[in-house]
Amino acid sequence: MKELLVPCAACYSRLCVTAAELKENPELRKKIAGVIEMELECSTKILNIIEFLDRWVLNSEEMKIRAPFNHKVACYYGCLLVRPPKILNFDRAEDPMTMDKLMSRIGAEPIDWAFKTECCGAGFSVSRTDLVAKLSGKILEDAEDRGAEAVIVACPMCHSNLDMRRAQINKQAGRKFSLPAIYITQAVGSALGIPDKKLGMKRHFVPVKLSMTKKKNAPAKAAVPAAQTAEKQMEA
Amino acid sequence: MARIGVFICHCGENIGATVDCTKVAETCGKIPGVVHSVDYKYMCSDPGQNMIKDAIREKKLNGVVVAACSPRMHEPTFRRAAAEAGLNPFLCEMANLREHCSWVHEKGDTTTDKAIDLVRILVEKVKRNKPLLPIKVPVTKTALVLGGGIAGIQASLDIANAGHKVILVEREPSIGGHMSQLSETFPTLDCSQCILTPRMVEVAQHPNITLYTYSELESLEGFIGNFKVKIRKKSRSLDEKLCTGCGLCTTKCPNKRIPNEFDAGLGMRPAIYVPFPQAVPNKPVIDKVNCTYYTKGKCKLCEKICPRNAIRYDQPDEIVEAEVGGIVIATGFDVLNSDFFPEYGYGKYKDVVNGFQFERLASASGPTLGEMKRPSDGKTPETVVFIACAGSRDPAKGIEYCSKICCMYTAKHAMLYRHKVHHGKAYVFYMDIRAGGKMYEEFVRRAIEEDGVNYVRGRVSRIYEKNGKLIVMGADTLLGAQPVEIEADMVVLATAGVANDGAEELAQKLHVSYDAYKFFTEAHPKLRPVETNTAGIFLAGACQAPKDIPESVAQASGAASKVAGLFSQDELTREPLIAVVNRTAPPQYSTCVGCFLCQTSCPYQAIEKEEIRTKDGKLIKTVAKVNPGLCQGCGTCVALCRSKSIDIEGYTHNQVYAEVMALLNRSEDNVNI
Repeated sequence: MKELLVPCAACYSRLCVTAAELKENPELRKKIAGVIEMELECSTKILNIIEFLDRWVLNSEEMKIRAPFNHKVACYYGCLLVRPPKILNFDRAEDPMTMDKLMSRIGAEPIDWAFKTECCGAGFSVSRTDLVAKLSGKILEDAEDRGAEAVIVACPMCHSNLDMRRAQINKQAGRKFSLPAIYITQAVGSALGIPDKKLGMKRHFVPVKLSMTKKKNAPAKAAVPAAQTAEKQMEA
Repeated sequence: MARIGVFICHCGENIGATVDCTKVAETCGKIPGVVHSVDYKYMCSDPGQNMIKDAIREKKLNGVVVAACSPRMHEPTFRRAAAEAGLNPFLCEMANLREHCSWVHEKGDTTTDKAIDLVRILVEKVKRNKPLLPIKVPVTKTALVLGGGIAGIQASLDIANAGHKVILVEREPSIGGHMSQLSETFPTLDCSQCILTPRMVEVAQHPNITLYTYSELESLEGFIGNFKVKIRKKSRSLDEKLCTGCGLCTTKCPNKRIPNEFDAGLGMRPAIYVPFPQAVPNKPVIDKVNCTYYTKGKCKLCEKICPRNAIRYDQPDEIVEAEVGGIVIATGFDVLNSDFFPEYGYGKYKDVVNGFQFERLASASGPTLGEMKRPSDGKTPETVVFIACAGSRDPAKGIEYCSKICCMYTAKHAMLYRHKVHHGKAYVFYMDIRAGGKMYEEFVRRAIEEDGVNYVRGRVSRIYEKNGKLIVMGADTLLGAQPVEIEADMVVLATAGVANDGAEELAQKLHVSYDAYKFFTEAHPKLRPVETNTAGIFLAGACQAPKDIPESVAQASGAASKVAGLFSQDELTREPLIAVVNRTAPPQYSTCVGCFLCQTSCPYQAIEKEEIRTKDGKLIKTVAKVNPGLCQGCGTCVALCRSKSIDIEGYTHNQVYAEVMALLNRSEDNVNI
C-alpha cells in the first residue's frame, strides 16, 4: 500500500504522529511489530482529504468543473488538520491556505476570517455539549458576520458539531445561525456536477438551501477541466 | 640531539577528571628525546608557565610540548613563556588533550592512551621543528567602518579623535541608522534625534572622516594592517558638488506616493528624496525603481526645476579603491515582519504595526507629527495592546533567542502612549520582563505604577478584526491561564530583531564567521567580544546580536580602541607559517621545475617568478618564489606542487610525515613505551 487516505482530521493527525514516532524510534518499531505480528515499514504516505482532492480529483483530466461552486465560503480547517506542524509539515499552522486555494479552484470565494483553526469542541460533543455550543458558536458567528454562505469543513467531527449541535449553539448564542456546514467533498462533488441527493446535501440537520437557490441563478459556465481552472486562478 | 620537555595540564577537571595525567606524564617521559615530563593542574597559570620557563633553562630544552587545551586558546601564552626563557617560540607546540580527547571521550584507559598518542605525535613533530622568525608587515593607519548607525558613528568618531583616518561607508542615502527613526529613548526618555543628529553632523565635518553614503563594500583583499577595499558608490543621479540640498526637486516630483522607508512605510515620499530633514548628507537621491523617468523614459521635472543643474540621470556607479589597516563592522539589524506571524495579521490589518512604525507614530518628526493617530483612519486609539516577544524566544517560529531590546522599548511605547493619550488604556502581553540594565527595572516599574500600563503575563494566540475593533485573544497565566479578550484600536508587535539584509553576503566578502541566525560571531563570547576570528576586523553594535543603544555605543568604543591599539604600532608581526620554495645546492639550485601550477592556484596572488642567474647575469633557471607579505599559509600550493618543492614553514612534509609515523609505528607493547 502506497497511500492511505484519512478523511478524519483527528485520525490523520494521530496516524501521522504515530508514523513519525515509529520512523524515528527503531526500538518502538520492533516492539510494535512484535505485538501486531507484522512487518512495519512505515513507508505508507498518509493523505488528508485536502491533499487527496488536490492530487487525485482536481488535477485529473477526467474531472471537469461543470457547475462552479460560486459561493462565499469560510474554510474551516479545525484544530487537528494542521497540527502538530513540526510533524505534519502540511500548511501554516496558524493561518493555513490550502483549502482556501482549493475552494477558489472550484469557483468558490473563500473569505478571510479568524477562526480557521480554532477548536469546535471536538470530543466534548458527547460529555460537555455546553462547551461545544460555546466554541462552535464563536466559529459560526465570525463566519456569518463576515458574510460566508457556508462553512466548509474537512473533519467529520467538526462537521457533526457545527451541524448536529446547531440547535444548542443557537440557544447558547441567542441568535439563529442559518449558514450550513458542508463537508469539503460535498462542495467539490457539487462543482463536478454530482447531484445534491447523491452528495447527501438533503441529509443535513441545517438545511443546505440558501446556497442551492443561488447556484441556480448563476450563469452556467461551459464545462472546463478542473486542472485548467487552476491555471486560470494562478494567472489571476 | 633532541631535548624535549613535556608539560601535561589538568585544566582543572576539564582534562584531569577524564585523563590520567600523571600516567601520561610518566609514560611520555620515556619517549626517546624527552628529557623532562611533568603534569600540573593549571599549566597556563603563572606558576605553570614558570615550570616551563625553569625547565627550559635548567634542562637546556630545545623543544617543548604543552599538552593542554586547544592551541587557539593558549598557544600564544605558552609560546610567549618559551620565548621569555630564551627558546624560539616556534619550538613550542601544543597537544590538544581537551577538545580532542577529554571532552569527547569517557574516562578510561583508552582515553589516557589516546592522550599519550597525541603527545607522542607532537614530540616527533617538535623534534623536527626549526626556529622561525616572525614576519614584519607595515600598518596602513586608516580604518574602514561599515554602517553609519549609532555604532558606526561612535566607532568612527572615536577612531578619528584618536588621530587616525576613517572611511565610513553607509548603504542608505543618510547616516543615522535605526536610532534616527526612534522617538524617545529609554530609560531617560530623551529625544533620540536630539542626541544623535549632533553626532551625525560631527561625522560629516570631522577632518579625519571620509563619508561615503549610498555606498556598499564591493570587495576586500589583504590581511590585518594591509587591506585593500573597493567601495561601490551607487549613483545618486545628481552631482553632489553642485547640489546645495535646497530640496526644490523633492517638492516638485510628481510621483509622491512611495512608502517612506524612514517612516517604516507609514508616510509617503517622492521618487527623488532626502530620507528625513536632518539627513547627513542633506542631498537627495533618485529612487530609480520608482522614478517616472527611469521607468517610463519621460518626466525630467527635477532636472528642469533644479536651480544648480545638478541632476545627472546617466551618472554611473563609481568604484572607490582604498587601503585600510583595520575594519569595524557595524551594519546593524532589522526586524521580522510580514507573514511570519499570520495569526497576528501584520500586513493584513493596518492598525497592527511593528515597533518601528510605532516609533514613527510617536515621533515629532513622524507622519502624524507626534500625535497618536492610528494608521487606518487617523483616529486616536483608545485601547492599545503591545505584544512583547512577537517571534522572539519561540523555537516554533525559528527564533530561539531573546531579542533583548523589546521589553524595554515596549515599556517605553506604552509609556509614551499613556503620556499622549491620558484616558487611553495600554495593555502589554509579556512572557517575562527582562529589564537588566542601569535604571531599566525602575523604568518598567514606572510604566506600570506611575503610568498605569496593564501588564498581562501571557501570550496572544490570535488577532482579528470585528466591527472595526481588533480583537486580541490571549491568556493571563497569572490568573490560572484564564482566556483574555481585549477589543483594541491598535496593536503594536515587538517583533524579533534579526540580522540585517545582506549580512551573510557581507560576512563572506569579509571572511568573518556568522551564526545560525546570520549575526556576526565574535572571537570569544566573553573575553574577545569585539573581535572577529579574522585579524583586523572588529564588530560593533547589533550586527553581532540584538543590542540597545548604550550597549551598541559601548561596543563601538571598544572596537574603536582595538583599532587605535592596532594603529599604535608601526609594524605588525605575523606568524611565519607561510609557504617557501626550497633551495638546494648548485647545480640544481631548487627542485622547483618552474611549472607555476602554484601560481595559478594561489588564492592570494602570493607566488612570483624568480630568475636564478650566474654572477655574470646568465639565466640558469626560473623558479617560483613566495611573497611573504601576501602568503597566508593556506597550503594549496603545497598540495599541488608536483615536485614537492614547496613546504609550509612549521608544517613541512617531513614534520607531518613524522607525526603520522609516530602514530603508525606504535605497537601494542610500546603503548606504555
